[in-house]
Formats: sequence, structure tokens, C-alpha cells
Amino acid sequence: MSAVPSELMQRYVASLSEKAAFVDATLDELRRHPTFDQLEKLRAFCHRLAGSAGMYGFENLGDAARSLAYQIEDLREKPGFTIDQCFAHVVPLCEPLQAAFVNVLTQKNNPI
Amino acid sequence: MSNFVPTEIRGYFDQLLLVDGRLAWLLVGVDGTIRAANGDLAYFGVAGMARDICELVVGLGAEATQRLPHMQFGDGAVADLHLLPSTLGTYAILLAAQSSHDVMQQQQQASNERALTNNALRKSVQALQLAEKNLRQSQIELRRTNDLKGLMISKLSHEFGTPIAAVLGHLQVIRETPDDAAQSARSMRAIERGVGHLNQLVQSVLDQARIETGTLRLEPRETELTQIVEDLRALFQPLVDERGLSLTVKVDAPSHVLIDPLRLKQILINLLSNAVKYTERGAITMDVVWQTGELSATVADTGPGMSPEQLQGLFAAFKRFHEDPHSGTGLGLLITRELARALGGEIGVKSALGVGSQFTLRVPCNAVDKTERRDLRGMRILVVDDDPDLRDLMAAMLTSQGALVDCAASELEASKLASNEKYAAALVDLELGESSGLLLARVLRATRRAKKIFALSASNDLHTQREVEATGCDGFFAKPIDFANLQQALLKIERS
Repeated sequence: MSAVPSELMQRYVASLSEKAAFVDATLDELRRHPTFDQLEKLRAFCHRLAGSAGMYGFENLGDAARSLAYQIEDLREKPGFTIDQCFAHVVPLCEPLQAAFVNVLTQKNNPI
Repeated sequence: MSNFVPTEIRGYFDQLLLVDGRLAWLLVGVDGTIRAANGDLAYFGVAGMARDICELVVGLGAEATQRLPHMQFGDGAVADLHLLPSTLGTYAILLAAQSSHDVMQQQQQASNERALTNNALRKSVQALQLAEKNLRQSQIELRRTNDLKGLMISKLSHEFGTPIAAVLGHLQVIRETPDDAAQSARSMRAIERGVGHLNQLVQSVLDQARIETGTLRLEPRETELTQIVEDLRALFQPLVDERGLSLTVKVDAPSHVLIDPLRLKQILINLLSNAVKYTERGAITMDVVWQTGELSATVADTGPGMSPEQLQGLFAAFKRFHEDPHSGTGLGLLITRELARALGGEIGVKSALGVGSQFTLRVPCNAVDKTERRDLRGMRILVVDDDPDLRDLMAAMLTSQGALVDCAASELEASKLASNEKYAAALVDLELGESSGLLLARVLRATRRAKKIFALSASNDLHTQREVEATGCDGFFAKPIDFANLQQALLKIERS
């Protein structure tokens, strides 16, 4: 099949900074009011990003998102995990994804 | 009939009457007819069955006094039958025995119950003995697992420790001799090798953990088999040359097949690296054959071979730690076999001491016909995904191939569309925000609004794949989706 149509690619690239900001905002929310809903919001976002980023050619971003989604799933199932500890655990887990966003947004791995 | 009773018989009656009050008697003559009778004959049921008692008396031919306990005639009461021969014939005396019969029955009942209780007790003891045996076996297995874990930790500590020490040592060298370019280059190569080895170790341990937890991910896709074989030849030829061996590779298979290339390569690399590692002289061959839906790859060597005893524990984790100084993590063959099983196949092994070994991988695998490619013109496809980026991209890609695409962001939207249209295929994301893609797949399957249903997900572990299989989907595509594979699956529908 043919490559990603250019207008869709542009739209996706334009949405990346918004997507990166969503991660930061959700983390901030988790810091201030940690809830399982917020954590699920972050996981679902990563799951979606894992699906779309690779298809638009941002494999590293997709891999980082997939890895984070799995790690959040593991974290929730960890015995003794409480939502109050969530922020301390999630922040380091988010670092690879944030780094991947920085790479993409500074065009190091930008496929276009 | 007369009621005459001789004195000696009367004395006998008197004695019986002291024991039990109810009594009847008959005198049966030698010709088998009743000569005299008295007492409560009806109570014992003899009144209507006199012939029976006559036949009994004649049949027994009593020459001395006999006692037949607990006799019953017709519906009569239970009686003890006493037969007394006399000059006039045989006296048959019936004495009520219901109470002793009841006692006997109660005793029998109690005895039966005791037997049942004993039987249940015996069974319980047997079950306890079996449980104890199983417990002992579990303890042995637990101890063995524990030993293996200890062994694994000690082995892994050593395995990890060696390259880490080398890396740290060479980093020190670089730090201490920053101006020695040649030494730095040598150290960098050593560090690369060390890190490469560490990476391999980590991957092995992770693979084993994924296999054990069922989270191993498979990504079957259109794979250029000839390219994989060539890559393997290029990878192993220098090692084979270095050891003075020969490597022959033969392929009798279509150029493209549908398989997880990463896992196939991993299995073959494991088999080839073992063959190279253990063969001192001679040849290594790899034969790849595809036949009617099955791919087989045989790696044979002229190494030392294995005895039947060695073959028995060949696939056990860390089995070879004790025995073989060449062995790696001891997980290689175990992982290889588990990967083969994950692909739906198996690994077979033949070996003879002093002759060599032959490992054969057999996996189900479809060939890809590269000549039948067509576009998707006119095919109506439903794309269901809550992510607009992905939904629009898939719609654009499929439309560019001529497909007629409808898009939905939720289960509800998709159901509405499907109530008005029949689709050749539905591509359904498993996570649809609030709604469930699996539920939608079930609905589409039940209402037959889509000829084929393919599940899509960014999670591609075995658990997800099993869920998809249980739903009755016709296929599963992990995101990022390989469009070439998707197109091929869609073209198959059109052909069928």
C-alpha cells in the first residue's frame, strides 16, 4: 500500500506537541490528585499512541508508549501498590516517552 | 384330619411355646399328604400353601429332627420351621420368628453399614496416602526448583559479572590512557562485545520470563524466507570459517511466507550457534523445506552427538550447567523449544554419540503468493477505532487501494453502520474507549454483518491473542499494522 498521505502526516506531526503536553498535564494531575482514573487515562493514552505513532513512522515514540502502557499495567497489579505512591513510580517510567517526544519534536527522528 | 399329637411331640411343643407364643403344626404323612394340622396356620401363610410345605418335607426326607430358621411361605410371617420325624409321618412345626428375624436383619444391616464405613475409611486412607505421596513429590519438585533458582542466580551472577567486569576494566583503560588511540579502539571493541553479550543474556532471561508468564509476543507477517536464510548464512559463515568447518544451506521453499520473522530467526540462530559451538571438525548443514502449510528447518552437525540419557534432559532449564563448560545461560534450547511451540510447532532432535546431532523445527506456515496481488477495488470495509489519527490513516490507505471504507469511533456507531450495510471485512480495535471492541466483534459475528472480522490492538501479547481467538475473530493485527499483511488478508476474502 502507499505511504502515509501527506495531509494526514502533517496533521499527526502537528498534534505531537499537544500529545507531549497531555503526558505532562496528566503527570501533574497525578502529582496533585492521584486517582486510578488518572492513571488509566495515561495508560489508555499510551496504548493509543503506541498504535498510531508506529504507523506514522515514529517507531521509537510508539515503542516508548507501548512500554509505558505495559509498565503502568504491571504497576497497578503490583501487590501492595497504592494510588498515593503512584506519582513517585510513574515519573521515572515516563522519562523514556518524554525523551522520545523531545527527539521527535526536535526532528531527530522525524520521518518527514 | 385329626388333631392327635403324640406325647413326645407334645413335649416338644411345650418347650417351643415357652420360647415364643405363636405356633402352628402340620403332620405330613409318608405319602406327602397332610394328615393333621393345627395352630395359627393362616398367620404363617401355610393355609394357602400347604402343598409347598408338603413338597418341602418330602423333598428334605427328614430322618432326624431338623430346624430351618427364618422360613417364609407366601405373605405369611417369618417362622422357624422344625421338622420332627415320627411313626405317623413328619411333623412340621412353625414357630414365630419375626423378632429374631428382625434382629438378624438389623445385625445384617449394621454389618453392612460397618462394611461401608470400613470401605469409606479405607478409601480415605488411600486418598490420604496419595495426597501424602503427591505432597512429597511437590516438595521434591519445589526443592529442585529452588535449587535451580539458586543455580540460576549463581550462574547469572557469574554470566553477568564477567562481561560487566570486562566493560568496567576497559572503561578504566580508556580513562587512564586517553591519548592512546589504538588502545582506546581495542577497548571500545571489547566494550561493544561485552555489552552485546550482556544484551543477549538479558534477552534470554526476558524471553524465558515472557514464556513462563504467557506474555511472549508474536508478530506473524509476510516474511522473505530466502532473505532470512541468507542473513543467517552471512552471520555464521565467518564463525564456521574461523573453526575450519563447512556450512551448507539448502532452501526448497517459496520466497515469501507468513511467519514471525524475529522468532523464526531466533530459533534458527540458537540451533546454528549450538551446532557451531559443539562441532570441532566436519560440516554443518541447514535444510529449509516448505510443504503444504508446514515449514521445516533441519540443522545438522558432525559434533560429538549425545547419548539417549543426555537427550532426555536436553530441553530442561539450566540442565547443562553441571556438565558442559561451553554452555551459555542454559536457557537456549528451552527457549528455542518454547518459541517453536508458541509458533504452533515443535522441535525434534536425533543424535548419536560420535556421529552428530540433528535438530528439526516444524511450524505451520502459509506461503505468500506474490503473483496474485490485486487491489481492493469495490471491497466494503468497516474500520472501527477510537483514535482519529489511526482511523483516518487506515481509511486513507484502504481507499487508496479502491476499497469502500466506512469509519466508526465506537461500538455504537459501528453497530448503526452495520445495521444498514454488510461488509466484506470489519477491522475492529479492541480498546474503544468506554466500549469494547471484543463485544462489537461478537455482535458483528452473531449478526453476520461482516464476512471477516479482524481485531486490532497495540497490545500483542498471547493473552490478547487468545482473547481474540475466543471471540471468533478471523485474524489479529498488532499495531503498528503491517499494511502489506493486512492487504493480503483482505485479498484472501475477496478470492474466497
